[in-house]
Amino acid sequence: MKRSKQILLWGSLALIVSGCGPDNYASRFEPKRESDAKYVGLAVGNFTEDEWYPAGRLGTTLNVTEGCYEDETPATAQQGLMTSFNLGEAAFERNFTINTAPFKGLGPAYLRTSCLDCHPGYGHGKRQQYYRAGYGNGYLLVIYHPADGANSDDGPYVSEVTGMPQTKATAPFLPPIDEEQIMINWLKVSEMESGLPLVFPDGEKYELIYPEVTIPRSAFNTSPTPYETGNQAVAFRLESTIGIIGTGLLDAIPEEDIKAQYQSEARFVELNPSFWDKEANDFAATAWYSLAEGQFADGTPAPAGTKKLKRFTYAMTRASLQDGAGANAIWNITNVSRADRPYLYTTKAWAKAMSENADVIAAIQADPSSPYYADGTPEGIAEAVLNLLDPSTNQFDNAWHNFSPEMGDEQYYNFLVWHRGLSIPRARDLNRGSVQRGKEVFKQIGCASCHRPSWETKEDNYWEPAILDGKPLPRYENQKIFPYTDMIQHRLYMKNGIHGSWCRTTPLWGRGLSKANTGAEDRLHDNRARNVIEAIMWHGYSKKSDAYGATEKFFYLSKEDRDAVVEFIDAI
Amino acid sequence: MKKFLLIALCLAAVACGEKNNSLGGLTANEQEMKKIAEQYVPNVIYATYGDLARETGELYDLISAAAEKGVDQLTQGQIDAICAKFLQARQSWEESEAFLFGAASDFGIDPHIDTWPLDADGLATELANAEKVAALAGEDGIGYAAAKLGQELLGFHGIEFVLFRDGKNRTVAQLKANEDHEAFAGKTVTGAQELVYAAAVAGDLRDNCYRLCVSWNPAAPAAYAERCEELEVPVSVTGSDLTYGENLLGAAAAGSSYATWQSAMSSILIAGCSNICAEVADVKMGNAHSGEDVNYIESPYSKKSFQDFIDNILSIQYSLYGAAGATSAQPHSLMSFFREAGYNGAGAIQSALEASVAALKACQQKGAFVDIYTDASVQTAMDAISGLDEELNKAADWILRQ
Repeated sequence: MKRSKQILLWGSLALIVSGCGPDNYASRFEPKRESDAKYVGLAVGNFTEDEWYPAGRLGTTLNVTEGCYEDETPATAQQGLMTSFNLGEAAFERNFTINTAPFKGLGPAYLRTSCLDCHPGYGHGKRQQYYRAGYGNGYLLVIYHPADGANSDDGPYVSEVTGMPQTKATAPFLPPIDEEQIMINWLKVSEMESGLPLVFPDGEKYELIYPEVTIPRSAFNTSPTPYETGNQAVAFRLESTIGIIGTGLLDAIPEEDIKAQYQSEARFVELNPSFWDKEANDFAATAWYSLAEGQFADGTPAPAGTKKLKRFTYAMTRASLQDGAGANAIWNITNVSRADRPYLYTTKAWAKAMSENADVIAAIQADPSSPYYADGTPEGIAEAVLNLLDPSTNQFDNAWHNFSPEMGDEQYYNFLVWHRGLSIPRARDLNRGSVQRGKEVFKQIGCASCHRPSWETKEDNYWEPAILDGKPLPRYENQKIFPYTDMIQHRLYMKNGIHGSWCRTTPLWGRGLSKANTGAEDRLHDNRARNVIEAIMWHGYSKKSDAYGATEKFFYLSKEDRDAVVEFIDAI
Repeated sequence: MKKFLLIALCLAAVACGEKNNSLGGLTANEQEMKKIAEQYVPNVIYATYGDLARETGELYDLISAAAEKGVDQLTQGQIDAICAKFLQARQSWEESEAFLFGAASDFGIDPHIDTWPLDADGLATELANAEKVAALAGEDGIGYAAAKLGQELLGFHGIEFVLFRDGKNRTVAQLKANEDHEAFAGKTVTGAQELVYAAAVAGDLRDNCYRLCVSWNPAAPAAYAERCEELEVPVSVTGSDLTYGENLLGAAAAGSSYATWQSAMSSILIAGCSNICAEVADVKMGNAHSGEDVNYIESPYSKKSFQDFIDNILSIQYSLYGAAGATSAQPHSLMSFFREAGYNGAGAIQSALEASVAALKACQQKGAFVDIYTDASVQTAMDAISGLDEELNKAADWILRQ
């Protein structure tokens, strides 16, 4: 009854608008859309006034134009942190170089020269036809020994290349993987494993594609290659960069509230046993992350080994944003050392291969200024290369050559201010009937079970590492936020799915502005979904998927309601 | 339901209340916004990108001719002409920075041709390698540069390194000798090799500027479009066959990413003008001045930073006035609309714009940014530009409600 009334009202409104006069643009134009500006901050339809501010008043930017993903949160400005934010932003946007200040220390092996390469327009990366380490390619290769010896999603990472494999190196070294030999093929799904047709009941078709990646043995400049270790089977996946905007707010969600969410969901769905002990109705021991020495925002010391709940990255490997994916990436993507990161992000297999490569030895021998020169003999150089490229060698304190930290403590602080200070754009078009209907349907069909709409941040007593010396970061106390995630992992069982099978529910906030900010709107962990419909339907590829029931309901919706759900997702 | 009904009734009232002023479903204000776009897109964006494409093409021709002829035949007049052409192209690029939204951002052209710092050590390694120089000099040297060098060695700042040093054009003697920059210590790199590199990078710069022009202007010169086809690069808005110009001009129509004319105007003001305003005040100037670190200066070799900043503010002026090079507001420009529609902040925008340019010119008279970056005049200019930014944001908020 409620629905039909809404449709009647919306239909009436459309008639009223279209009845206001002839349209010069004839059929090219949809009914004119009203600017939402006058409704911002007001309760409209089934939206509260708070929902215009997905990251709360302290975390939301009112800018919704191109480039809005770059905006700082109001909290950052209110706390007087803008100088640090802008300097940190430069570290994110600009190139790291071998030795040109202010961003130096690139290599010896690396993934990209700039964070912006993987986060184009501060977004999620764009689907690629081939793998080249440059702007727009947010893919990290995932290379592992498949548990079934074929193409399982599960299995341990290979140890010959780094967990985030590098395809670049500074001279005279060779990259651990020659990227020109990496092949990405995009294949079409011919049939859903679940049996859901590739045509909606009203006749509208959708198409799903997925990547198949191959890397031959010859591409690996390591000794041995992954094809000679483990079960000698090697499988590959792509993982695009995860969202960076608003992550400071996710860091502020209290652990006890996340625990309540786990308890609530565990009654209905099997959760990752690495995170949740169903019998104990409590977190598993492996759900906790041991932090380095630091302190909390209120000044309480946090000795090394302090535990915090893992919540960041698809695989939920990190607990605090200040030791999360970005804090890690500013070190390992570029291999830029700093005082608290004295080790290289490399592998012993790569160090060995480089120490055995005659061209590498000859090039170093021709350059007495090289830090790897040692005594100038091939044997001495090989030993220096083997040890200095080893990930267990302290770069600042060793027997071969002592380097200095390449990123200063202050630069790192600025970077963390910037990272924790990134905002979420305000919601759009909440005044539209179709968006309001989409919200209703989104909840009705069960999407909101995992894409939990809202959380409250409470005190935001964040952790920060000792290297920051207690300096303040943007803080988000007592904010009601609308990220649309439960902060819990689920399984979708997609074709060539995510490595490890479990993936944290992606926050949906702000994603509707991806195309405006990045020129692309690809979704899911490897950008296989080219639009929202494809992303939703991948949730129903398998009947085993945690989201199959909701997807099946979506499949049987009218086109009007499917479109309303999409409009809603694009609006939040 | 009551709330929903109330909104629906309000909308109905608004829609019918506007009937008297509307044509084709657009209110009088929206019709004017459409005219503003029709003035702005061709006369600011197409015009500026047209200049940029032509000038970078000429720059490539000049540098590649010099590289081909060899440094032995090089004259100072030739170098000076190349440097002048570089600065002309650079000016057009800086004057385009009030509309970096769209193709420049979506295709990563901005970071590809204008990021910094140049990796001087990486360049030294590259140019000391005979095989790599041969690849740069080869038939597909431009393609090699585009695919292999990485953006830390591409774009304006790589060419700037070859052409300028310490704020001056380099001399014939310098280019006939080996490179003596500190990053090149222990390596032998000749001026001839640097010119080969500069030519390949200038070719890549030209290609990217052609792409900017083609991606916006459906009537861009055929030669530019053919080059883009040859490079197999996308030149339309993702998911459509519209150019960025058509997309903006088609605001409020199906297929355009701008749902309303108000949002299109807001993008010009915020994503375009305000964005570069904040970038100049807070980042380009602010990071060096507030951070007290000279390393954050973008153009250290030509010492033209203040000119770049002035050109950035002029880019805002042209966007507001409705024509590249305009010194006063054109009919159907944003600034004219502010005045004619009775926006009470119109005068403040005009004053802030003038104050920003004046403050930057005052800085420029004192010396190069790299030499005076901690001077109080820099803070004065930053404050003036921040003031302009504030006015632009107020204007955008106002226009969204029209």
